Amino acid sequence: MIVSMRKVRILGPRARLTSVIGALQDGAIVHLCEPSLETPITGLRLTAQHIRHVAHVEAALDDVEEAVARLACESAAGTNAELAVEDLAREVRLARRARRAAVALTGERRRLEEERTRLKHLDRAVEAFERMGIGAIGRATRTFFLVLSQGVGEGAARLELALSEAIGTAFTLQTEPLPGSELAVALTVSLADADRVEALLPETGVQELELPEIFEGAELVSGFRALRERVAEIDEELVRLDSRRRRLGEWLWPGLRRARCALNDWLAASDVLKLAAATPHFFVLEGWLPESEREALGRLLADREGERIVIEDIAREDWSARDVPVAIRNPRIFRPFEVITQRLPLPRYGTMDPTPFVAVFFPMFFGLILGDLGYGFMLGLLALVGRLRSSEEGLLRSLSEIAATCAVFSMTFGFVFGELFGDLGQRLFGMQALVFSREDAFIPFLALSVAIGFVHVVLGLVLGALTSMRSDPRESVGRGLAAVMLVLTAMMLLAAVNVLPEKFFTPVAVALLLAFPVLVAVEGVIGAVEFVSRLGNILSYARIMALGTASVMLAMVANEMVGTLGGAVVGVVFATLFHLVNFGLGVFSPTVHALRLHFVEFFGTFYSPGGQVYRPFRHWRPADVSTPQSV
Amino acid sequence: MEMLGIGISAALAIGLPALATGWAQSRIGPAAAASLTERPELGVTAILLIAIPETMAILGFVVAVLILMRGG
Repeated sequence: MIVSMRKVRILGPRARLTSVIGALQDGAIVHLCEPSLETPITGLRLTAQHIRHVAHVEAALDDVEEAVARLACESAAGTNAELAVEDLAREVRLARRARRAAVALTGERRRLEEERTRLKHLDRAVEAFERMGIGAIGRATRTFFLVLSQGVGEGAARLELALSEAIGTAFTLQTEPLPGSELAVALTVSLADADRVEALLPETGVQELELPEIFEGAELVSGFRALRERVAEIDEELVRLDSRRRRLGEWLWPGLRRARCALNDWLAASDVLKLAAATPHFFVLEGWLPESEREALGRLLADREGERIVIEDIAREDWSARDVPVAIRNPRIFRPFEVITQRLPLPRYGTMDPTPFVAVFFPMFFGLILGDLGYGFMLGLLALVGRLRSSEEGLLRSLSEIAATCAVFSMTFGFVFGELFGDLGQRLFGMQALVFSREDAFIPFLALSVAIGFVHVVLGLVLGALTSMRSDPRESVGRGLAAVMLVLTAMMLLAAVNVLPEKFFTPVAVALLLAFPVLVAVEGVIGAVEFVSRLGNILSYARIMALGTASVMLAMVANEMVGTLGGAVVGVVFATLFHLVNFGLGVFSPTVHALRLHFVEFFGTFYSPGGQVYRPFRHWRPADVSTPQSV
Repeated sequence: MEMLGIGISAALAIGLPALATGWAQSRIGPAAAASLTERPELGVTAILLIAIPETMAILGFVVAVLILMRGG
């Protein structure tokens, strides 16, 4: 349900503004907004010094975030309750030092990783040169280590041709294919030809492999060994660095968390200054709060500021419903169903939160479709497992509680329809339907489904008429009239099939014909079109019967498998598997269709989106990135 | 002969809307999948959009049942 809100104006001496803002931040009940004053009081002018402070705090917050990101130390441990802005300068210094330490550590790590990547890239080529048996770099010769990335045969042949033309046959060319299309080439020439060959290589499109410093002046084999040792060293160093970073993160995290909260709190309080209007002598703040919190606000400010602060209630006539932030508060039993209504944009203030209706109708539709004691029990078990594994405020907790409600409705309707895994209960225990059996009573089930649809849609129209009565009387009359016309249509049809006395038919039909032009006059042609679409919406509830019948038929087919498929054991196995498949379908399909009946048929009749979230001014906490609607 | 006519009518009553539903879902499905890659939070909306054309098949099923019951 949408919480009833009140708008208040807080006035006090200019010198107490900061302290009042602190009290409001502690209280966390007022959603502050810009003052709507008729007197010419301007907004508070921020001093140049304050603006400089804001820049410093923002920079410090960037330091904190960078340090947290680089140290990857964020954890959910701890609470914010004890945090307060006691020494902002200390937090700023801590943030700067933490960022520097984090930057140094991550910089070192990046340097080592780059070196490791470079050495590992060489490793494959070096292995190939090792296989060629090149042991030492000769005194009178020079060996060029090359990696040809072009077509293997073509590149080597072109290089060989170019070398023959330049230095004749005074060279040795050893090749070894590498994975992919690369070729490792060791080209040995005399020192006299080395310069010419060095100049020739770029001309033929070949680049010499750059060996790291550890190869310089060393025997090739020992160079290879040194390369591998260096890679191993880097690996160890990276592990040490990671461990150091983890320790540093664990050590710094409490301080960083405190700094983050303190700095965010300071910035939030600073932002609120922009919402204040002030003269040199007094200030004005305005905001929204739940009606029930009005006294708490009075007590809070009286305790903290004494009699110097005045709280003035702003009359209902002075504000519009579209400016009011929306807070949702439902009884505990309905609260899990907020996960369904939160899929919609927030409703406008003064309209209706559909959660209580969803909490009643969603499980009812689900139960009518699944309608089986056995399947309901299985769903109940799943819900129990989900609940045991969920946290207090988690999504899984809400879903498991919804599933539990659906399970109860499914078992109830299963009992009413006399179904236990289809007709198994009837076969084994002689279960009988209390009202009608879904396997053969198609028409009564269809009538029940459409009747439920009628009630649902008419209820939606009545809710729509009530909620728009104040904001849009014309629309309210239109919706109310549409609801009346639907009732008249239903009465006319019932009279036509002799459920109601036949004498009702003519007066009801005349009333309907008279109401039609009134509806067009109130809502325009669109009203007539919408009325017809409402009839379609009611027929859409026939899906409850269709899906329910399909579910029971599939269960019966599963039961038929015993005795018709080979031996009894094979039949039981197949029947069990089929029941499991049917249970899967039986959970998914009613969920989707019950949701659709709500989102399309029901909400379309009264739901008015467009509300803004109620965000009380409070201390910063990581959860502020989400947008909680419930209070 | 009459039974044959009733059977064919019922089959058409469910078959044609089912084909139409399949065609509509084949158009909505890829569009919904494409939307989900960019905005995963639209999951519920996507499922609902895909479920909307099923009304045709469901009403077709209801009509087929009525034909069979009235005719049989």
